[in-house]
Amino acid sequence: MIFVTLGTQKQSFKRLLEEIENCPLLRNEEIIAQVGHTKYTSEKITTIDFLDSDEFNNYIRSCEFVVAHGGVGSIFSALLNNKKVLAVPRLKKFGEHVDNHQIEICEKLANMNHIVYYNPENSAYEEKPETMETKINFLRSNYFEPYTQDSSYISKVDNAIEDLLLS
Amino acid sequence: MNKVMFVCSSGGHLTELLKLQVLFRKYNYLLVTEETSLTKKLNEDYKISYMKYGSREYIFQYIFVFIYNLIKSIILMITFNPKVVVTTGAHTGGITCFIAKLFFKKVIYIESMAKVKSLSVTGKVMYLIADKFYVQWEELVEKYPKAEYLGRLI
Repeated sequence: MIFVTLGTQKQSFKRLLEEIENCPLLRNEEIIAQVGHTKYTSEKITTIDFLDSDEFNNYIRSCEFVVAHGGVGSIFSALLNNKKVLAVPRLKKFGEHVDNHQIEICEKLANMNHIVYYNPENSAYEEKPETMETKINFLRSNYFEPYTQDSSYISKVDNAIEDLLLS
Repeated sequence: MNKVMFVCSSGGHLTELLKLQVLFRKYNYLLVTEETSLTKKLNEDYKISYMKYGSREYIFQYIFVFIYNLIKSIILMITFNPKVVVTTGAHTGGITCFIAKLFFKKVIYIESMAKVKSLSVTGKVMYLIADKFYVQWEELVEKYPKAEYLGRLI
């Protein structure tokens, strides 16, 4: 099973579901998607508007890999469960977000070899543009660095709170 | 017990803020976030107060949401009266922290992990007024010298 999560933004992110629907590699895969506010009907993809966090984590744990919009919450839910992630940033030009900031974190995490990210705009003018298919092949056949959480961060924030309480 | 308010928008900002929830046991806390279908059940687990959900995309509607959240922030500053406010941002967190500064509260701003190369709109305002300003990627400190890098929340 492949789990897809589009985040909680009000803006529709239909483009990603269409890409998945039309990807020949996924023709025989079971696909479950948390679509949030995106309206989409499909025979191929099982859509659920919102999952509570237990259900969400269950799908993450039991899937082969996660296809996520470029939001921090979605990407890290997968990474912290040691799942491979294909992230697709929401783009402003398609009205999918207020700006293009999702590209930043996707690029960064891809450069650190934690995830694969797919932005059709990157290779639109190349001879062989990247597709969902090439990205999934890459995701399936490569190793990615596990992401480890920085456990000391909370106490650093707590020190800052203590400082301010005293000042 | 010292009063500390934790405030942010829903979605990824809340995922980041809730990483700090062990601190909820240490302080007399209040969690403030937007009411959405995903956050409405959180009041079973947390001491929570809700703001209205807004996005800059729907600008006309957002003006009303903005005013509602502004008034609610003022009420919370008076009724809860925190000493310190911690936020992981976006607009809802920003509005409350702006009000907090008007009430002479201390503000800790943590820029979202999503921001790697530049600050968010809220971050740019908070950079000027927050008492402590943290970013989660080192390269941002070069651009914004007053920002501190402590590592990453997630």
